[in-house]
Amino acid sequence: MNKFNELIEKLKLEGLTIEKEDKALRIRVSTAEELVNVLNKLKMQGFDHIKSITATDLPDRNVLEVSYILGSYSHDKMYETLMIITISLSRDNPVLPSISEIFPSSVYHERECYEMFGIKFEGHRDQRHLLLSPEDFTGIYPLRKEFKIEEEGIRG
Amino acid sequence: MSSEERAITIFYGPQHPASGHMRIILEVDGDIVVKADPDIGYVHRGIEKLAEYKTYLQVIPLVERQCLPDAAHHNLAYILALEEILGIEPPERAQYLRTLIAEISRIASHLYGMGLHGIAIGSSTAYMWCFGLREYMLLLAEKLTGARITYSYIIPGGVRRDLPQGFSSEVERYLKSFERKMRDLDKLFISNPVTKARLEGVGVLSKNDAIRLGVVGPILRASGISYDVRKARPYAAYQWVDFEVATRKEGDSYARLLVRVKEIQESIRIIRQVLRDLPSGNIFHEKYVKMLPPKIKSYIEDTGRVKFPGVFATLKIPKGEGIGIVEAGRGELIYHLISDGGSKPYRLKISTPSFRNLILFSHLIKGVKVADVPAIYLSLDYFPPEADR
Amino acid sequence: MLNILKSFRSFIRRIILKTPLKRILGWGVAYSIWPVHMVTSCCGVEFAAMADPLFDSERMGMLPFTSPRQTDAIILEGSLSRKMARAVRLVYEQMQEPKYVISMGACSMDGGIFYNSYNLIRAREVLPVDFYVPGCPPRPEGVMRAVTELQKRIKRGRGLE
Repeated sequence: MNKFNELIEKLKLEGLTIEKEDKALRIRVSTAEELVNVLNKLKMQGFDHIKSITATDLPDRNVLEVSYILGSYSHDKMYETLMIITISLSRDNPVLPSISEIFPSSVYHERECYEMFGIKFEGHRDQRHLLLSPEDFTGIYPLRKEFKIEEEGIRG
Repeated sequence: MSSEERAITIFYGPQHPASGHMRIILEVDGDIVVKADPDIGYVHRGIEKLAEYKTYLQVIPLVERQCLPDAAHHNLAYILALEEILGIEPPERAQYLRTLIAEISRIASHLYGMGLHGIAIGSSTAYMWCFGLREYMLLLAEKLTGARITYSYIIPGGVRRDLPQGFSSEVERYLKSFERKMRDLDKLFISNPVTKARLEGVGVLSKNDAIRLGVVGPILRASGISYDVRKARPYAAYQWVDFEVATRKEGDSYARLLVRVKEIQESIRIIRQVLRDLPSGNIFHEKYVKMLPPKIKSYIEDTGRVKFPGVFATLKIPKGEGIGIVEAGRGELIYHLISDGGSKPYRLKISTPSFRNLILFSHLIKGVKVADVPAIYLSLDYFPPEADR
Repeated sequence: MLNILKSFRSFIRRIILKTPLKRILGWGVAYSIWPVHMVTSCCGVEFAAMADPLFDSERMGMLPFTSPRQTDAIILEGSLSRKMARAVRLVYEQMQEPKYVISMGACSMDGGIFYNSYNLIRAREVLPVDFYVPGCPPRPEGVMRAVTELQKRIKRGRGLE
């Protein structure tokens, strides 16, 4: 826990508020411009690739929550640092700016998020379907909660 | 006409001796490849959606079927994410046994990749020898867990079975024979001048490109960056054993082959240390043992096998979020589990190493001859069911 | 002219399919069943293990071959997704008679562990299957038993028309 303190002090000087969890650090943002701002500042501190982009569908609060997980390969001491950035979007028309110019390692993750949840990324060079063919699309994006598949009727 | 206008499109398709279950759309001008574009999704089964309709224990066989040559690491990463939400740590003997099955799985996965690489270059004897050596490891795993490939050995709170009698001396006998045959394989395939002529200088990935594109696994370590999750954020028993991280500087296909061979040798060292230092104790966490009726408790102590307590059938997890990161055979594997207090997962997100290495196809296969495409593609060790999930 | 060709062809077929010649033809086809190089899903790992020195499949005459025009059998391993089913149907229609289909694993029989997935279809909706091999994944000895039963059926003369 103490090994992250130095990094947290450096980031606080840039004006970012960080929550410290057991194994990772978390930053919550609320708008798209703030997201691009935070990512640019983190890139200058040494974070250089995206490990995963997770989207979750929360129909009771009527939001889609997207988490970006970042890591660092350039500095030895930062190998163990995990940084998570969370943003909430509305479910009816989800739009986010594409970060493939800042981090080229996010190209395929964004394509998959578009195909499974319907989130449009503005500025992405190549937004087409990745895993399913377009003629099989039924109108509801597969990983949203209203897309139902059959279930075994034994346990509730 | 310029090069792009002369190019014709070829499908390096699913029906091909060296392509696996995916398609690469190549644009070719004469004998030189102008552009390569991967077309995936031929094995997409929707595992992330199916996991929301099964209970927490029923998900264990489901996630194992993603990468069959290397199934123990997917099992381990899912259980690490689950145990972070539950807030328990298994006993020490269980941590050592988890390391043992993980290293056996890593050796089997590397031999699978090397065998397929050999047959695509033209040496089918290398395919036969590598798969024959892989059978040694599968026989050992069958004595320990009861299955050849899909072990389902790791459960929340510990492992499922203890070591059978006489296991350590049998492992030592197998490993001696294995090392002798690896020396013969080295003379036949790895130090062969034909292999070197085919693989040296082909598909070079520089250090800056590797950092910028975010690649993982032996590809990263063959380009000069010594990042290994077992040293950066240790899990299971890796903080108590002693091993080296294999790194090379050149970044071409031959360097990736040599990194895999060195990793097999380090895994054999780890297996010997685990069997020498194995502590005594029980293999299942006391919190769950206390919930069992006394007849089952005496069964566990007599035979050393764990019968699932009935409370696991509808195990309810507290609300929270857990992340499990391990170093699988092909690279870094991340499981992100979100639970809402019920008996089924709310959201399971899997970030596999093969999916993160997809970006190398359009970067590396550009400006090379058509005959070099299998040599580069199979040195990346891409496994389509793992990337498609 | 067309009528003469048709009656000539049926005359030759009736001679060849009489028992002694049929047995020789059956013996030739049974000991050289060549499958196509097409791997459908995760059971392909056990199919590759069937060719290794412990469970040698080449002693039965099975040699995986590249071009679909010169092969006899197609072995479906595991689950069939929609994209892959279109490719498999194309390859099956290019093969020449006589041709056989063996389906490995629980997923192509009736879904297996992925029975309620949104992207999978059953093998019998796409191809006519001769043999099903149960298991998840089946052991290599199980697939070899299916090949041996197929050889017995061919030697008896069924499946050659």
